[in-house]
Amino acid sequence: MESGFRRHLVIKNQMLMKTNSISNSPVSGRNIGQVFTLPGLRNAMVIALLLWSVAGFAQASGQPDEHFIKGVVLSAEEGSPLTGVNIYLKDTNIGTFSDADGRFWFPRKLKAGEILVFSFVGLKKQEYVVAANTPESLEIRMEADPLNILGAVWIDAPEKPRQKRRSLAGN
Amino acid sequence: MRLLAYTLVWIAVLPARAQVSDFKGTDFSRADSVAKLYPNHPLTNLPDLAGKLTHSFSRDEEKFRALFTWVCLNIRNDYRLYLENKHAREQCKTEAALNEWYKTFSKVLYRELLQEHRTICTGYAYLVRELALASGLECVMVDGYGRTPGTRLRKNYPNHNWNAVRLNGKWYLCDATWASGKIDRQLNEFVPRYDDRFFLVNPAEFARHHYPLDTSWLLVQDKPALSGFLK
Repeated sequence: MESGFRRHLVIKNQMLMKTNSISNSPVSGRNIGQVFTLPGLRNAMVIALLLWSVAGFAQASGQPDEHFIKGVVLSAEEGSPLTGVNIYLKDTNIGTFSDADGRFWFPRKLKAGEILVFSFVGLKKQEYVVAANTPESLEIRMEADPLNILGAVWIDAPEKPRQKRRSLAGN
Repeated sequence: MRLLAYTLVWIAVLPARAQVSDFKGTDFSRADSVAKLYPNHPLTNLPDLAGKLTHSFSRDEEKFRALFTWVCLNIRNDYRLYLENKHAREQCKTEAALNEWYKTFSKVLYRELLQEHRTICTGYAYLVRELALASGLECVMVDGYGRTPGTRLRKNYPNHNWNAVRLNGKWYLCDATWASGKIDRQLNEFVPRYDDRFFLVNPAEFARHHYPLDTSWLLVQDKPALSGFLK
């Protein structure tokens, strides 16, 4: 919002400088007819500019903080790019995934307070809350999600007692 | 008058029946057929897969059934991987060594799950949990002891993972690993065959084969002792 408003102000100032340069130009001295028409023209331009900037400001404040977000997803341990990480807007189907270099470009403008979820098999899920002044490029570092790996299988015949005997012999 | 009496008796009996098995009469064929629409669907986007499996259902138990069935039909138990892990765990003398092994083996496990759709019980429980969470269902992995015919259980040596899932505000237990099929001892390989005995089982029944490290996941009032289970 701020940057949009500032941009409008800058443009407006530039335009005003232009109108000023017209009124101060030596043309006004040479052509009397023009001298009379100029203030009218100037007023009209100022009003038009004011309307334009007000309209621009209204537009900017109507969509606060909507911006595109891009970034890169890296492994927290090795710093290497992570490919195929799912990046989606929380509780929606809107999303994308990171490319071979770990890069992504979210396909929709995002508002402050919306939540991006980064997830992939084997990685700890991460959430990113979109801030008002989100940097254009995010760097998300994702940690591995190690599991306590157990593993009983349902075997349809009893295990052979061979292993037990061996372990007894070992002791 | 007699009809009224029957109705009253029926109403009185109904909650008691529900305690024993809440989904005994539920027809899960629609959920199962949705699960069969996506054979070998990649696991690279779990939220997407979860959405495909559950979006046509409004009831928690049907959503969960669709993804449970999908996991059981599409993930194979890798006996070789099981043996490798079992052997390595037995070699680990310290907790630190064990944790180091888990860290290394986790990567192998995830890769195999993603690329080959093969895993051991931890991968099954992980996948069920992730798909359930992506579908808005509360779900946890439970660590503990699993008793199968002929296994020798040792204290402080848990050997199994399964899931607890919260459906309509109540917790239930299930085991996708054992529901998916068995290891044939003669062939030394996995034979897929869906076994409904391990889906949303009544806790007292489930406790015959499963004993969690955190006993609150027994989900029963009178908790049986671990020593009795290990015998």
